[in-house]
Amino acid sequence: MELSLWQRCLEQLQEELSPKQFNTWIRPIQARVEEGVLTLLMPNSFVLEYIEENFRQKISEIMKNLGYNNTDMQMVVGSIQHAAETISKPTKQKSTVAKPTKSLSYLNSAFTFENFIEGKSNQLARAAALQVAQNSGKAYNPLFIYGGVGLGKTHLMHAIGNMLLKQKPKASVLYLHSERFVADMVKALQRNSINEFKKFYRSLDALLIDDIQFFAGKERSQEEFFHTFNALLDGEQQIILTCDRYPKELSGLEERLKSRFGWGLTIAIEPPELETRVAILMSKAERSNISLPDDVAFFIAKHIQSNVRELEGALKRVIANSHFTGHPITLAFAREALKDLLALQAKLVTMANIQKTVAEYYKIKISDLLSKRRTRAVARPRQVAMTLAKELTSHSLPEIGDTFGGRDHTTVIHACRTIKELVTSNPTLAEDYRNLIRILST
Amino acid sequence: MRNLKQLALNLCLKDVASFANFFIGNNQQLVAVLGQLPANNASPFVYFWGQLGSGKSHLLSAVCQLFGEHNLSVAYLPLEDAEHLDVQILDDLENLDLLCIDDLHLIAGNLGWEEKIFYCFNNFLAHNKKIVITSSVAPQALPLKLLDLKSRMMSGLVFAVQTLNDEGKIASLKLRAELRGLDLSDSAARFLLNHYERDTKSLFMVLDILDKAALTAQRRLTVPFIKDILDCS
Repeated sequence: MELSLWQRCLEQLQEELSPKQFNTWIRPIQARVEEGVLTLLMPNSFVLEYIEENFRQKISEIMKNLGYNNTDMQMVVGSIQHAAETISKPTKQKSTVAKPTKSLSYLNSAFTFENFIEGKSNQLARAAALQVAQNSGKAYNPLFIYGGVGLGKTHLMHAIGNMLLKQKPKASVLYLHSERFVADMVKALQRNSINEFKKFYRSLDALLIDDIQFFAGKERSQEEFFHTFNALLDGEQQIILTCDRYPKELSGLEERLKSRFGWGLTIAIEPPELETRVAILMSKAERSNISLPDDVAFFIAKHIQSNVRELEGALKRVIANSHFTGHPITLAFAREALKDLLALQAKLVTMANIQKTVAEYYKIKISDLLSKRRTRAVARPRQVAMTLAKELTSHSLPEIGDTFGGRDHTTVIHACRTIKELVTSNPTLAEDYRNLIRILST
Repeated sequence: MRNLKQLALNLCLKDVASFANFFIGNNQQLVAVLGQLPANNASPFVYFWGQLGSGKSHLLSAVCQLFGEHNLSVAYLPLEDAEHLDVQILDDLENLDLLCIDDLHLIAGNLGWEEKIFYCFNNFLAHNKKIVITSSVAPQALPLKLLDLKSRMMSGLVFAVQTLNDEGKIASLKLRAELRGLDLSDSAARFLLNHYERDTKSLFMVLDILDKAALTAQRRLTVPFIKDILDCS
């Protein structure tokens, strides 16, 4: 039996099945031949069960016609890369307890402090992260980093982990997305190996869990994490957590966990300001060996304000277009390359959307924004909304005034001037303004 | 007669989606990027979006085929079938080489799928694997509940699939017919476009019916023949 036989079976299956069936169910199968026995490896038990039920007979028939003795064929969950883990009944497999080594830490070595671009919006978080990396378990425990999507929380977390390993190569550092913690726990429960699971997590020198908001509503996981958390803290082992919001604002999370998250240092990452966005673009371009002209970086940074990932996407598009056409990256070229993206943004940020978002943010009614009322609680949000309309849409000032209850364009000018001043002098308003820009442009 | 028809059915050429049988139109750059994906580690994630019938699923299948030809393994998730599938289908896929997700917009708002795809996406990239995702809208317009997933969709190399105009659709039909060994005249192609569903997906389905009928009847694809077959079917 040779693998070429399986290749021929694949060709026949492709002929007989619809492209969707073939792509969905047959393509993920990997095949291995050992001592003449064909083993078909399925990525997970869901695919295995589906294949067993729907395609086993067909595969057997084709293989038989090709001259293979089917009684030898095996279908199991597993993969070529991790053949040692191949198991036929995953629910009975026992997990092994091993300390994570560098290769098992799940850390991405590309994320370091050196390539984390610092700006006003993230310098406190970076300084705290550096402290933790230099004094693991002692400086701030836990370190809780929170902020919106795509602002660099995960980058900082990996940077700490990488630095810890650099200082102590034998340290057991584990980075996990909270979803993986939950999945591992569920598997451990299924396999009756919850004690090994506990032992494993409590043996770590540093545990880094990303996006803990995913624990919301998962009570059993929270319970398990609570005990792990306490054990690690008692042993002065470092815990680092990230989340998309301030711990107290997390719903679906037990109070005792929320309060413990605040025992160490809780620090926010804000959306990067223009200069930092420019620096991020320059740094990313440099890593791709691209020389990015200043005016192009400013152009992209000015138009993309939501998060670093979108900046990255826009830069990739400009670079890809330049590679494809052989044209150097100029301002006009970048404008053309991002034409669709910018047009789309303009379409998404409508006056109605701005009014709705601002009203929701300040918990007032849209009709208040449009009314003649001039109390501070209504007038300030109205000024913010008008300024956002001027910044994010291409409507004229008279049009904006008109949309806000038939106001004069000079009222819009006054509103924009007031908000511009307040953004520099009033940190709360500055934060509100940045948050609204992010919400509207994400 | 029935047997002959049956025979014709089996003899009909099946279109295995490839870049060669995709009428490129204004999508040269997207096709070039997808064609180089197995070897491109600089941009491992490509997202493309477009209207129904713009060729998204065809291109995605062509990417799967390309990876298959390189002996690379592929996970393919058609989200139009999401209600019949379980999120467990995405478990432990990171040892495969490519993750393809078709029609991401169809699960927008379904937190179970969004979270699973989010996790799977991160895992694939962390393992230096490739990802291709299609949708009917740009990432910025995806009504996803999970903003983490949405921002990740923005981080890729994003393309809008350019829809074909009538001339493009005719050229595309003729290319598809030619690859099947069929002679489809301009007037016959235009007739199809003027009288039946105009999206390429429907047009290709019609071509499939005509191919089988022409083979059975041993006829050329003339306008009267097309009328005859399609008005009866």
